[in-house]
Amino acid sequence: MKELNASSPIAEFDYQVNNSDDISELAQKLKISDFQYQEFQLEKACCEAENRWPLLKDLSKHVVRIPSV
Amino acid sequence: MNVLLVAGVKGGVGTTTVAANVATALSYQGKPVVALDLNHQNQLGFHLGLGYQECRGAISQLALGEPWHGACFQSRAGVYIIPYGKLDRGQSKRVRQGLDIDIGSDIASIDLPEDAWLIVDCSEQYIQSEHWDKLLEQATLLLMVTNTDASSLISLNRCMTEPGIINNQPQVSPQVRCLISRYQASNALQQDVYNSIQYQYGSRLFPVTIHDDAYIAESLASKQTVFEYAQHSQACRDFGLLGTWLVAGQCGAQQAVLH
Repeated sequence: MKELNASSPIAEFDYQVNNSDDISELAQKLKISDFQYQEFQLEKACCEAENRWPLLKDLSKHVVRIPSV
Repeated sequence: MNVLLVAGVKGGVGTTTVAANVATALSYQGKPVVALDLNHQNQLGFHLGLGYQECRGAISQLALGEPWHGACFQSRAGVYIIPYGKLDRGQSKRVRQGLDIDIGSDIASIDLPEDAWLIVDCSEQYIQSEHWDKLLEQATLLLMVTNTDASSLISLNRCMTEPGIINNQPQVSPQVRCLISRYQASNALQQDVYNSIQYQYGSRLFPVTIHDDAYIAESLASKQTVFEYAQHSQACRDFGLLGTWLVAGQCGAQQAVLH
């Protein structure tokens, strides 16, 4: 691995990605928004919710979805 | 002038609470604010500290043949309040016969500064009245207040999708946003409904959530706003943030994020 060049933001970014155990904390620190992943997580949470609550499943069939972005 | 309409997807979701506190939040941000009550429950004034004995308001002015904005009071936070007012039985009959507030036609003639906010607490009856479309045309933003329970979700879906309720267009008007109120983050069902709303309505969901907070009810009982009663509460933070977003929207920042 290359030596960290503190004057380069890209090198700093690479260093942090390669040395971080917690990606979500790192994303927060670096102010990264992974919209695709967030959408996936939201869709997954909704599917689980619809499996728990039949009314939510019924309602979702009658709504045209408006995307976040 | 900015016109913010606050309406509930159904009764009892906290529409008046939102209208009163957002008016106060904007006033604390140094904006001139007028809060107009178009709900026959006539409770907006109480949320802003008016006395129970006060009967004057927009509807009582109209019943007397006077301009509806003639009954105006000021709250401690500096918000100008126009209550709905109280009517006697004879006056109530006349109201049902068509004496109602056509505010949409009058807004253009109201002389308020450019950075002023007119906050309108709209009842379900007013939304269904003949004057609603005209008022909606004048609005900068319509906040549809909802709770995160199954019944509110049914009503929200009806309001946001069926033509003729929000407007006469088959699609949702671009200036409409849902605002989640009384959210209990620890409740599993509420979490699920919240996710469902976020997934279905995406960019139509206002990016601030009003959490459930006992201080809101306590502040009303103590005849204070939540900003006066509990300035370090969650509710105070939420409404303050809501006010900040609205002011940011004036500068175009909100449109950049929301669209």
